[in-house]
Amino acid sequence: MSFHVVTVLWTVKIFLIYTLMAVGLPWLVMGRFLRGRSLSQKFVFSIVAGNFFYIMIVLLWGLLHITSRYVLIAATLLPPAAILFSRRQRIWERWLQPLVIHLKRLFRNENSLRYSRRLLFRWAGRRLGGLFRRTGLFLRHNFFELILFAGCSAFVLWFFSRTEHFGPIVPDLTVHMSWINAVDEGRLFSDGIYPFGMHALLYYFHVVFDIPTVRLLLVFGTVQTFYIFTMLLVFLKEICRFRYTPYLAYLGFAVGHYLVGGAWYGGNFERYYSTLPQEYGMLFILPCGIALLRFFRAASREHEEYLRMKREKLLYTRVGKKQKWKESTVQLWLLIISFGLTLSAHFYNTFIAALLILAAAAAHIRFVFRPDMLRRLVCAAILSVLIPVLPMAIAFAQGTPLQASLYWGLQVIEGEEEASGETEETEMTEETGEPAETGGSEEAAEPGTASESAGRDMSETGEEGSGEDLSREPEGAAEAKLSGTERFRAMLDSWKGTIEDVLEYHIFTSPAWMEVWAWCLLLLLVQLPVLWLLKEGEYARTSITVLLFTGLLVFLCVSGDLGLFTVMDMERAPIFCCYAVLAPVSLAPDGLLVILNRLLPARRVWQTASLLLAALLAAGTAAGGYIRPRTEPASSLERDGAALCVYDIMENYPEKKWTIVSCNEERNMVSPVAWHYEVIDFLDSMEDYQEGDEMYIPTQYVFFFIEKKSLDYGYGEFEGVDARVSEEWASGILPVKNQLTQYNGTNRIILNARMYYWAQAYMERFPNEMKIYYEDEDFVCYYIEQNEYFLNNFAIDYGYNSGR
Amino acid sequence: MVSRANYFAITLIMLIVLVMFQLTGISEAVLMNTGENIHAAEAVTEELAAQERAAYDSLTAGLSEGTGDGRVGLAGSRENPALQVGENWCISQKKEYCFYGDLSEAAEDPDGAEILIADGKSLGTEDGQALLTLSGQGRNVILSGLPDTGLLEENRELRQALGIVEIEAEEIRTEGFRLFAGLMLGGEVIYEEYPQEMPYARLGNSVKVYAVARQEEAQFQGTDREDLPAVIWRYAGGEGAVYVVNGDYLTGQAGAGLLTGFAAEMEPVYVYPVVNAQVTVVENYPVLTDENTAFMEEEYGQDATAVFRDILWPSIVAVQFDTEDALTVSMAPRLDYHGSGETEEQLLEFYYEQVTKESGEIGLSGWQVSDVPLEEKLQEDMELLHSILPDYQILTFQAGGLEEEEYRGLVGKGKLLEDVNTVLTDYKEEDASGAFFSYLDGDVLQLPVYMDSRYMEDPDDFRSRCLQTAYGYYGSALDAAVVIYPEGEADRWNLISQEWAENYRPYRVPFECFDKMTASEADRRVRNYLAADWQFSVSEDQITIQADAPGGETYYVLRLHGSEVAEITGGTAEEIEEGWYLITVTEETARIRIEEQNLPGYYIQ
Repeated sequence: MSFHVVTVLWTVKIFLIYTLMAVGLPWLVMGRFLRGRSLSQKFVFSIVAGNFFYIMIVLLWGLLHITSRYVLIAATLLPPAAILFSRRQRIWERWLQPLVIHLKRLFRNENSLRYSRRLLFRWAGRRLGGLFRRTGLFLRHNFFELILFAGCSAFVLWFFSRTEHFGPIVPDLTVHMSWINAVDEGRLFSDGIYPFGMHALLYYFHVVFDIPTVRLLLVFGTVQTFYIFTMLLVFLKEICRFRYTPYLAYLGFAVGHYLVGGAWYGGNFERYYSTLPQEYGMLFILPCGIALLRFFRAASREHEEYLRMKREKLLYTRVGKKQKWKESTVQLWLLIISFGLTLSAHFYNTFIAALLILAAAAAHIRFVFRPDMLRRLVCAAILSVLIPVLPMAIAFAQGTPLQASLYWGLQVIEGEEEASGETEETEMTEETGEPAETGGSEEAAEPGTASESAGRDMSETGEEGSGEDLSREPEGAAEAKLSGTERFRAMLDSWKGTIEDVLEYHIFTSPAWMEVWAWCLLLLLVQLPVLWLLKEGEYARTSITVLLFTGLLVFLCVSGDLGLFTVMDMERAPIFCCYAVLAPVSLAPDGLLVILNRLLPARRVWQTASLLLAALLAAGTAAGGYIRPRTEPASSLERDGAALCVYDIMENYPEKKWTIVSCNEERNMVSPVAWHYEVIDFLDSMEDYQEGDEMYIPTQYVFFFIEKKSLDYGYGEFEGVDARVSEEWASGILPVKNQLTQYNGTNRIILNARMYYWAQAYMERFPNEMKIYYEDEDFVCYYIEQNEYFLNNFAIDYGYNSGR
Repeated sequence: MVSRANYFAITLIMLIVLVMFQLTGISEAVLMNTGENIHAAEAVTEELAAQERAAYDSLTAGLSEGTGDGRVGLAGSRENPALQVGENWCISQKKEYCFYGDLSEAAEDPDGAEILIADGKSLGTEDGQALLTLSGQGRNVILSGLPDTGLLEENRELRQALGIVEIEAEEIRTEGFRLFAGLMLGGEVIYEEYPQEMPYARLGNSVKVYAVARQEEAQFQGTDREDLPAVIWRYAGGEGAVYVVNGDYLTGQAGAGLLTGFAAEMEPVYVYPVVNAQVTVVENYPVLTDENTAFMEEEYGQDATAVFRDILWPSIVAVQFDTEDALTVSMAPRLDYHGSGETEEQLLEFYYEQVTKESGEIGLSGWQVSDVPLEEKLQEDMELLHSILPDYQILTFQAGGLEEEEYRGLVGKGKLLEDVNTVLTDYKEEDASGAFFSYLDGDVLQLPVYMDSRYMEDPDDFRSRCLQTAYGYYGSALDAAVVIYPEGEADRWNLISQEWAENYRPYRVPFECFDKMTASEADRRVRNYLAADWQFSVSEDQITIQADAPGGETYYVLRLHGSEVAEITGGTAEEIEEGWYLITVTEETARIRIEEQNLPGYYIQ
């Protein structure tokens, strides 16, 4: 079977599992609570509650070191069981009692089988008919929207699915694998305390559905990206009044080639291919905004209602708190949990969520400082931090130290260290012994060489671009000659140029799209007074929230270049900026339509206009060739053949019976079920070969992963270097083992070449035992089945182990 | 009330049932009344026997002057037992062979034999270089035993050529050894009581060990498994390999199994012919005369004929039913021809019916406790047989421990036992000079019975594995005469049957693939095996076996390493165990398509 198909099937499987468990099941359990809410609200509540629930049960049971499959399944079934129990009377009367009565009658021969069958079919027909009718109505009422949504979703799933390359794209993926696998052994924070939300969720699926962690980590990225994108659409639908205007921004972000990269990995969209905590946490940023906007709206209405009832002396008729939660309280809890989830996933998400909350609070400033409101918000802020921090605090109290990257995070907060993702990764690598992003060949490390990463090129260009130079220009000698106004104007000009440069370089693919976006911002600004005049205060406050949030995100990207403090490194800030920067593109036309609708009330007409706008954008995007081109990144850490072999071996060979000898990448992939041996240790054992040297690997099967054409580890293909195995490379000096340097740059070619010639020599000695398991142009996997009682001595003189 | 139609239908059904039951009885009675040997019709015809004998003689005549590719070289003295085993193995596998004075001579002939068999004990100083040269030439050497340990300690080259790092001890006594799966049929086995004395050599790399010594005592405690004394190993330092047997296992007939295993290890695909027959004989059964009456009365409370009929026969049938063995009994009407006991002739008819019902075969035993001349004994036996069963043809003669000279003039066409095609002989492990299967004068074939059904000690099991691997043939016998004339306390039927029952199943399960048959059926298989001219070729994933055998279908064992049979035309394939297949070639050419095992089930486009 094609491995492409297998990977797609895994994606589908994991997508279905996540959808059913994290969206479907909570939806079902909270059915009564969600009744009457909009589809988008149902979606937000379900996904937030679902993720929160699974993360929490893994963390809480994990602290007790009880994370077995059955415990988690029991914990999952508890809420549905409790709900069924609480509704037992109703369930009995409505469902079970009639059934029991019918069955009794049937067994007593009071009813004939034919009659009972007719009753059953009639009941099933009614149910099915109702279902079909509702589905038909839903399809009819949402026909165009469904087309738009399905089209965009299909594109997102296709675009971000792993269909051509199969290895991990980012190096820390294997670190996350090892952390998740450690929970299997009862070690929750195996490498120290770290926001463990994504790990906990994936561990849940790994254990409950018996999915290998490596499969989850390699494929879940597609699934989470779909939901991250869908959440943006839901947010847009929350802030827009018209049905189709949200699709303007959503189309632009999800499908169109209007936004561009500039981030480390070569694009603002490239990280979405990977299952990373930061991206997972993005799922919960916008629910914070949705919850807060709805909270302000609900609180305002409740306050007005309270005043009205007080005025009419009807306060005694109010329903007590115990009977019914106020809508504002519900929304506040949604905010608390969503914000907590961002913190449990990745600190950067919390930061962005905080910006969104800040923007919304600023827009609703007249509500915020109302004493009862302020009290509730402060309590919510404390709870939203406490809930995710509590498991970490317990673990810390139990003596688990912080993970290295958290120390770095704390230093950043304290302002002791520059915010740099590179630093974070490096520190993480040192702690875990995992591949560093920065590791590369000597050639690659030299400036100006072809293999230098695009990311760094862009960063450098970005620095040269304008920002700092322009911002510093006024500080030159000519500065003293300028008057204060002129200096201020010069500074403004300089800032404007810097912002334009950053946006052109990091955010928008062309200045034209940036202009369109800027016009949308302007339109939104202009609309604000009009909206106020038309008494659309709530809508205006939402617009202000979006404007402020957009502004803050842009500021996040440009602050460094403006010479101000750097809050977030430029590898990551544009990713968040891109995620929400297009919101005004939807909101501006939507606001215009709102105004027009107030002036000329013809909602259907304006609704049609919104559809036309969305359709025009979709058609223009397709016809104009503005669909984002798909370039699925290949792994710079592992050959596709190696990924295939790992999958196949894990599937077909008994646990703990095999070992993979490879450079390093497969270590964490196979660690829960099998063994791994480092190539450097393997070769080192027979270096300076002498009779009597021994090299044993005590498993029945041993697989040797050899790159016939070595990867430039962490960078991709070598450029300017013939990385194919050759006698020349094999004759090179065996690198000294030092963290991962032996696998970086040309060291890796030497190791692979030596392994290749070792394999050839060993195969000559054991032609019937040592076989080629898999081979393609760039990669070969040998395997040998050993007699476990009398192991093979792999130490031989293969012709190149003559010493360093 | 039953209607007429129903009444008629019921009557009709009852009639049909009645007729059906009667028919089985009638057919059985018809069969029994013939008084013939039911296997006689299928026995080899004179013409075919002559043709097969001629084919065998023709095929084996030129083998010793082999010059073709793939021939086997026997380096050393022709009288050396290991070389004699090698020669017989070459003949049975129709391999050309030639002789060299020593390994150095073989090394000087780079285009010579691809496989060399030599006596390792007689290696000298210069043979180290010869072995290295042969290895460099890509030729494989099989050595029986190790040279003197002093020589090994002194001569690094020789040690290197044998894969030995150092000699730990000149001689150690081991209790047994562990034979790993793969070298021969039967899987992994541990022999706990198979003592031997051998030098203890510690091996280096590039070594594959097939058997390691076993010692319960503290001698090897704390020693890494990889440092245990190896009994059988392969050292592949270069293109060719050296196979070393650190013991005397290659000096007897059973050595053929090891040679077959080594040959199969040398190639990724190896095919060789086998007999595919398992014969189980109950010797000296039935006895039709009451002998040693006092003992029998005391021990069993009955006379000999009653014990044989009422006690032994049900047990024999039970075992035969359980093992699905084909029954061969070698009748001994009397054991003591000087005795006064009267022969109960009517019992012969009873046994004939019983054995025929079990599709078995009655042969004639040559054994007696008296000392009348063999011809006289056989004459008397034949007269008795002809008086009761005049049409019964005796096809099998159980020679037992008789010397060949004693019965040579009595069996075969125109002689006293003129219908006899097959002589069942005792197995002589140490006699490596004779072929495993051999023709007597004329077309009479001798089949060795190499197992005693009562015993399955470790050496017995090893022999069984070796010979079944080499020939696909199993010959086992149980002597019933000891019930009447016991040689010890253990020769009581309750003990004998218990030992038989304990042994017949567990040790034969790995070899269940081979067909179970009577002696005269096995005779046909062996003749065909000896007369078959066959060749096999391998091209990529296809194996072609071309067989020309006068007797029809032929049988082969196919040994694969890391691949499996995917498809076969012109025959059938049955997996014996992992990597071993029994191939039945039913047409002139069989084509087998093989597939690599352990390949990923996925691909990247």
